[in-house]
Amino acid sequence: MPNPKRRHSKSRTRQRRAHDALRAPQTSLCENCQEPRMPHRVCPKCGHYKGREVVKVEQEA
Amino acid sequence: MRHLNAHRKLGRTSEHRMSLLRNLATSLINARDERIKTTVQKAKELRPFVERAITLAKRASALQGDDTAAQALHLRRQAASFFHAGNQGAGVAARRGQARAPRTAGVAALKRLFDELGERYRERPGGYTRIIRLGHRDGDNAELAIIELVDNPREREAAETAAKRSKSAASGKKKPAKKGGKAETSSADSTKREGRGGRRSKKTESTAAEQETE
Ligand SMILES: [Zn+2]
Repeated sequence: MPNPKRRHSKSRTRQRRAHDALRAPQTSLCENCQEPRMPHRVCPKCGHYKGREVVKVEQEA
Repeated sequence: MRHLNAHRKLGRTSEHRMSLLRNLATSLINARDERIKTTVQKAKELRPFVERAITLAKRASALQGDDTAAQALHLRRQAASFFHAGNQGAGVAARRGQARAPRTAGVAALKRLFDELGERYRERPGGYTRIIRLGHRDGDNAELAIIELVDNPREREAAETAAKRSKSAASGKKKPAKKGGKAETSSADSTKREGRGGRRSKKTESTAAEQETE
């Protein structure tokens, strides 16, 4: 079985991971309630989409 | 490679998949508000599936000539394969005077499809459903969507009230855009309703309306 011959330095590990960062999802403000929401999706806060349609009932506990 | 393979398998065998699609189609057509919530992937698979069934009903409602009964029955039997409905929907209804309640949800869906939806979509050249993304679900992070029949009663009602409101606003102009959000909603809705000529015209009209209200 193949085995590592030498340990990697922290530097090497960190250099490899330099490209692993995740990006935050793209959001814009809801036209109805000004909350951030993802594109092409119903606003999770107020249930509006495309300026009309209350697609979801506004839920409040 | 999955070149030229159009559909998702949804992690199921073909029997399981067909059954799932029939269940989804039945649910969508029987649903009280004509919409169901499911995953985006299932919704996207369901869309062409139910729309084919609706097209059959549409063709049945547009039949003319001599042997329409036979042709309608044939269309109905073809459509029955889109639900867990058997092929009994046509014959069973008028036994012993009173109409019985359909025995299964699939039969009920088939009945509703031919009684209501064929007529409703007579003038619509396809595109009977709408998929709206909702975001991700807790638990498995699956993306959810609503799939609904377009032109449903709730939508028509909204369009009517919007038309009424815009008409009264045009004649009276007492309270111009007091509720900004509400007014915007109504005008966008009505233009969408009127601009049914095609996707492009619809789009330009609605954007024009949006700019107007801003
Ligand atoms: Zn919102």
